Amino acid sequence: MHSWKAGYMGELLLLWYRRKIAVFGIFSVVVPILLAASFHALQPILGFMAVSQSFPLTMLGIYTSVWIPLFIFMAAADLFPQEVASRTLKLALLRPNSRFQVYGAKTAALATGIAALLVLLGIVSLACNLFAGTLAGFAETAAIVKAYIASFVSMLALAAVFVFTAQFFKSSSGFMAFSIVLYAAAKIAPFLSSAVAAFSPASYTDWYKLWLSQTVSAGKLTTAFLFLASCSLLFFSLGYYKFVRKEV
Amino acid sequence: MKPILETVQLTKMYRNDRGIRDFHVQLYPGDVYGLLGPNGAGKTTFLKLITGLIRPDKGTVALFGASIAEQFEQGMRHVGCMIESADFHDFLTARQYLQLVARYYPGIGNSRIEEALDVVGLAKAKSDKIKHYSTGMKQKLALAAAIMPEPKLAILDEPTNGLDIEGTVMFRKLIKRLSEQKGMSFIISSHMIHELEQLCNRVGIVVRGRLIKEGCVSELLQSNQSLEQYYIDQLRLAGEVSESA
Repeated sequence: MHSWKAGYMGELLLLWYRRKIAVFGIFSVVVPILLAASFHALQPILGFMAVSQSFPLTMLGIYTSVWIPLFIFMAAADLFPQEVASRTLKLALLRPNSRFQVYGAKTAALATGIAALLVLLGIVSLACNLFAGTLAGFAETAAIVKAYIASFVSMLALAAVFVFTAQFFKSSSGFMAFSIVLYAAAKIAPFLSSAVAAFSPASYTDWYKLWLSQTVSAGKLTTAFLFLASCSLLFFSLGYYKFVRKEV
Repeated sequence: MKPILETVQLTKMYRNDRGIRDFHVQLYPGDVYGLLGPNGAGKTTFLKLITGLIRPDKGTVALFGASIAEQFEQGMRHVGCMIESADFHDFLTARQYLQLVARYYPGIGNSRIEEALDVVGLAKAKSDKIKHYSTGMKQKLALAAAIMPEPKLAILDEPTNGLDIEGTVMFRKLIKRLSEQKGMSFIISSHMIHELEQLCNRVGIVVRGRLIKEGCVSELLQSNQSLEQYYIDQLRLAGEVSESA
């Protein structure tokens, strides 16, 4: 356990020390503020686009469909293909940690990064509400928190898919390009075939909306949750299957 | 005495027919084992196999009695390594990198990190980003990371590559000191045969993926002018060098 913790902390620190992650974090703070300021300024013209109480939820749609997936591609690229390309993967593999622990530490660091990003984006969005004077009440804020937590589950499933995909690449730029194309294709596919939507984790990025609806049954929520949990486990395991066979 | 490293029939062949075949090696506490051989003979493949970086086609590896395939964590607990080139996350400073390494080994504090940096001569550059380091400085940092946890066995692949003369002398003194004072064991793969002659008590010669000879350095030196002469003779017998060499 001590070695796994060391590996996990090491991976987290490596993500933290990377300049592009810091830049991504800064943008995560700046973009919602800029959008909120723009909406506020445009309110007299457009009216409906004001920074309303649901601003954190409106922004969550953008975060989960674009912003966080981009973070997942970038972080997964740094954690796996980049380490192969720069031959630094051996630095983790030569420590007293099993391959499972190394893989688990990297994946856990990515999951922590996603959680931290959601928390950061949630706080910034709520702060925008506060400054715009449209801060929601307790019940609405609780619903917002619930939506952000639900988003974490769908983002985790998406991360598992791309961690698995990352195992096939030896260059981070190749992986990034492929991931963006794959994700875009996965987003477009449901328009061509509705069957795809039910079985693609990319179709669940707005899953949090189900949690906000009063009319969705508990059974539907459970089914969707089980699907996302199964996806996470399946792709995590497939990724490990590839990772454990890596020769460096 | 139980061996700290034992390989049995260790075999790994690549598609280009390079690799190693049937390596039987036993290393005992206190051994400083030199691995000699021409480029591409299989030395690095052997070192990668015993540290689990690659998987064997056949055979077993046990480190401190633990199978590397089944009890990797236990086997590697007392092993420090520098394998192949010294590659790092170059956005880190040397100190940050050693702090990351230290997390894996209980009881390593800042004083040990500073000491390791000082021993390899990187104390002044400890706060510089690794991307600004020369090849020799990276090599020194890799050495510092390998010895910092004071492992019972250090596996060093071409440790003097890129080192200047002072660096090579520092390396030799360091290995001697750690071996004599701390009882640390070493496997060193190197082309610096004069260094190995001074440092090692045992050597193994690898030619075309086979461990063709193994012996005690002191015994070899009784019947040969130097380790270099013995090595060249063995290569000649194996048909690796011409008679005129």
